[in-house]
Amino acid sequence: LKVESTRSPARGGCEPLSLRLYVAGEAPNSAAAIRNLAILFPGGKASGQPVEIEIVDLLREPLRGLLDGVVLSPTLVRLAPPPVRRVVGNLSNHEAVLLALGIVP
Amino acid sequence: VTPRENEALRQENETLRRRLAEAEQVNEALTKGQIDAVVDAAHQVPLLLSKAQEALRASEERYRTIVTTADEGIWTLDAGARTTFVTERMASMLGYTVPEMVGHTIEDFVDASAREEALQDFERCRKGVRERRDMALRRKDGTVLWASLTSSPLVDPDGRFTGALGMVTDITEERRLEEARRSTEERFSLVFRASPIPIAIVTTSSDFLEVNDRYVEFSGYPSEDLVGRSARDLGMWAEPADRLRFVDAMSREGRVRDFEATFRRKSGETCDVLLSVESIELRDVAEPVRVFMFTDITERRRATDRLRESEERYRSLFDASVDTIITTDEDGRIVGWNRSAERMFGYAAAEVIGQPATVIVPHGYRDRHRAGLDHVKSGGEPHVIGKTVELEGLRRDGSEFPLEFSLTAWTVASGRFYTAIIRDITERKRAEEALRASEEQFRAMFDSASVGVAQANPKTGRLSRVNPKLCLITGYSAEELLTRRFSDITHPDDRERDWTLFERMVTTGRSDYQTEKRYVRKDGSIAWVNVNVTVLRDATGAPTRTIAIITDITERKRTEEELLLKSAALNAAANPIVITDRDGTILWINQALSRLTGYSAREAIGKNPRALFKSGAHDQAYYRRLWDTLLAGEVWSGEITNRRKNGTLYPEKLTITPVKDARGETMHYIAIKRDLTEERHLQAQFLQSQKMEAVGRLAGGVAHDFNNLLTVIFGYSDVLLQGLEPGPLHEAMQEVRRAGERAAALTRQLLAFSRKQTLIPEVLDLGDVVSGLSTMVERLIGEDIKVSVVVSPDLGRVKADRGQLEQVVMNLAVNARDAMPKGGSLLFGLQNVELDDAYTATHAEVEPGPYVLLAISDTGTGMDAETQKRIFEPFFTTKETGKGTGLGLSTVYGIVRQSGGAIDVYSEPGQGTTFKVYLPRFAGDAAVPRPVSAINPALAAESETVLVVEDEAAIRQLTKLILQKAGYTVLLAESPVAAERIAGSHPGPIHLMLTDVVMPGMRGPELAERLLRLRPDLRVLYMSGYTDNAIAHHGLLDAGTEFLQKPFTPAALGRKVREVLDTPG
Repeated sequence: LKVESTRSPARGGCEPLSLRLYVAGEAPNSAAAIRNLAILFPGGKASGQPVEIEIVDLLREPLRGLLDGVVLSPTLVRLAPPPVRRVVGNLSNHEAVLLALGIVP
Repeated sequence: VTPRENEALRQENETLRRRLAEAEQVNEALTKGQIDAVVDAAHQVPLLLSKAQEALRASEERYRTIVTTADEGIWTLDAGARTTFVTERMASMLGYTVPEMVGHTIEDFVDASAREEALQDFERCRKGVRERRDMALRRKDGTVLWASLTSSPLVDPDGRFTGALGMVTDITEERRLEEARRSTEERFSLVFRASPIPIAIVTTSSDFLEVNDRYVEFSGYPSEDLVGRSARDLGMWAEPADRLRFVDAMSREGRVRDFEATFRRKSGETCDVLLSVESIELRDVAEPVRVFMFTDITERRRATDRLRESEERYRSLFDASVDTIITTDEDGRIVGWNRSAERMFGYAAAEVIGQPATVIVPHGYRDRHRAGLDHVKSGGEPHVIGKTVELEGLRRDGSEFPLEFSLTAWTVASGRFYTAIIRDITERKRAEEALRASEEQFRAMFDSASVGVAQANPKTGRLSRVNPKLCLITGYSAEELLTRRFSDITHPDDRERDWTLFERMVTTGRSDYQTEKRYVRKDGSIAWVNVNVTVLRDATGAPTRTIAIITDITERKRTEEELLLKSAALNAAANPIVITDRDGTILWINQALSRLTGYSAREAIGKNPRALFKSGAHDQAYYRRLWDTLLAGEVWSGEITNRRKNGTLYPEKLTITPVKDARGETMHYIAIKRDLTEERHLQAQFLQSQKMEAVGRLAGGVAHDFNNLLTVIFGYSDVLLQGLEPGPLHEAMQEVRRAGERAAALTRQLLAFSRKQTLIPEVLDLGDVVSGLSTMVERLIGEDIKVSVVVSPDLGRVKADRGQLEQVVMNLAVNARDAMPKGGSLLFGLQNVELDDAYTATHAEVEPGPYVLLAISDTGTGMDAETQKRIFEPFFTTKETGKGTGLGLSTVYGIVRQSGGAIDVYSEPGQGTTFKVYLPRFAGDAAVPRPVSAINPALAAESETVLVVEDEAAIRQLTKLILQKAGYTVLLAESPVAAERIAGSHPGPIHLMLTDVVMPGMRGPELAERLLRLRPDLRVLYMSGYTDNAIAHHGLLDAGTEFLQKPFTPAALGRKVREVLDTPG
């Protein structure tokens, strides 16, 4: 299997933000990460721009994590715009998450 | 740098920074427990970190605890193999804390042995390989942690390798167990291989499975020839029957033990083996196997054979033994009987085997023998086992003999047997008997010996055995002596010497010594003993004891000492002594004899006295008489003239005593001599002195009468002369008077010689006296002779009569002058001398002590010895007739002797003469010199009364006439009695008594004493022609006594009387 997005080259700043969150079922940090994403991107938008968010449950699809080189959950991966960035953890430090994702708060 | 390159670098930098930020973020999430699950890459499953999610949701802290308590450790590394994350579990497995590990590369946590491997793993991981393997990690404390490690590469979404994830399980304990199991197997395998016993493991189908090295060696087959084949195939069973028995035994028992079989080696050689087989199950072999173990018993078999041979040899020894060896069974029946037994008892083996041993037991012993057998039958051991006893044996011919018997018991399968070793001790018994007899004899000798015998310890000297005689010598009992060392009873003065001898004997190789010493007996007395000591030594030469033979020599010692003393006495005796044998040969002389004769003992001993001493002064008859007396066994005594070694003759008194033995036979002669030389000399002197004495007495007696006569002659001559007118008659009277004076001088000299004159001694300096006279002497002897006086300083004084000494000096001076008719010199020398015994020995008249010597030496003609001998005799003169009276030196002699001195003359013809006058030195204070009063020239004293006491009538009358003429009142008494009477009856005072010294009835001094009681103021004046015995005994009147020497002249009388009366009272 090949996931296109992980290997997509860097594109222009206008490219919409695409995120993928790997979780372990409803484990506490995974649940917290989902909640935090909702807080960080209310209404699925960041700075008015729509944000594409995909949530992958590793318990159901463990191979997807391995293929993406994700061995810890929860891990948030910025698929676009390039370059790929990861944030591990329950995303409770919002500033750090936004910084990691390249979004100026 | 091109812009493009610059851009690439910038991008790379950007990437790295991003990754770093990501890593930091991941780390933070991990450490804060914001992780729910980890994907196990190896198993492609996400691992939920906790299953108790709900319970732990409340506390992140506690959640983290769960993560860290998970059994697996989780470890992430970045692309540089540096630790980015470890769980607490992981850290604690390695003994670190989490922070200690983060940032360190994997190398820091891998055991050195696995480092290379770990790096290779990481490289494979970088290439995307996931794997699981065991790896040795290193704990912080350096110990090894065996871990099962699952490693997965971490890649970013771009597919770039970002690091590795490790899941780590601690398998140290599993490893340890595994190792233990392996080492146990290895050990057993080693035991199997190294076992010294040949072992083969065989399958149920009898094929060899495995064999050990020893089996290979034993069988000769290499293991590859064996595996998969059977013993039967290889022909190892040398005896097929063995195999059948074996198969049978195995099928019955499932195993065999010590199964005997004959084994054939590959070489074809066979050997005896003991085989043990056991069935066992092996883990890695499906069916049970059999373990064969072999013991090679070929050697053991051979040993058994050798034993048998040995027994045979012993059997022959048994028969050949010099000792008799008899074996019986428990019932006392003979089962063994060797040749020596046959010879000893006279029974052949065949005759006695199976017989009871009683046949050789004498009847007297049979009860005991039977009792012994009963004792053994009831289960006891014979009492004599292990001992050697002496018994008697019974021979076949019925004779009995002593034997020595020792019994040993032994048990074999067939029962218990007894073996007796017997020796015939007839000879030994005989020797013992002889020894005992000898010892008894010795004992008797020891006890009854007439000498002391003692045994002592050679180290300490402690007495270990003493005999009665020694007790008798020492006075101690045997018990007392045995507690002592011999030194204890040895005299302290002898102890050291004695012990030195003893020790020298013991320590050096000497075997004996002999000495004389003293014991201190128990009662403290001394016992002299002669001791002969011998040391006994053992075979190695070490001393075992000493034996001393002690002889009491006290009596001999005493005799010896006595003899020594006597001998010393004889030797020291002043009398010369000669001891000869009965033939007259000299055996011994003493020192006195050597001194007398000049012969040393060596010269004299062995000679005949005749040859040495005979002088020829006696005729044959003299000696014949001597020998006649001696041969008759009587003592001969007489005077005899003998000859010295130097040829001079000497007179001796000789007493020869025969010494007789017990039978009365003369064995020796002892001659005791006395040298008569000195005696003869003294005798001659004595005779001379007696002659002088007699002459003196004669002269003195004559002089006394002469003086009385001369007094009368003088008195009346003077009376007549006063009354005569000058003329022929007067002249004639003068001649009479002069003749009288010459006669008076002669008489005076006679008196001086006879030492009967009255001396009035005073303390004098003889030097002054001589010096005072020297002028007069010079005038007297003329100008041809030089006179000198030498007075030594500190010259002592003498107590003597001055006038008499002056006379001595003058007489000797005149004598010298006469010896020097042609002139010469005359020396007066004065000095102090001490006369010693040597001098006084030859001058019996003086005592040893301090003297003043007056030596008068002339250079005149000298005299010969004969003249010297007679020089002091009165009327001996060498001068022409008329020249001398022959009284000069006699007078000197008399005065010196009377003054307590001595006179010697030394002269040689032509060599001059020296007279030496010795006068006793005066030690006391000088008497106060009498003050010389002025003599009143007036003779008359009308008022004074004089009592004249004189038994000679002529002198009495003359005195009265003279004194009356001088104006005195004179009272006359013819005897002391009359004088007393007059003194008592005379009414007036009596001023002076003039008395003779010697009168019948009473002496002058005694009379004076009586009258002084009546008349204390009475003055006394003595007159005498000579002093009688009483005065002579004292030698003189007391100093201070007034004395008038007869004959006196009227003038002298008047002067003396006046002087006495005028002396202040």
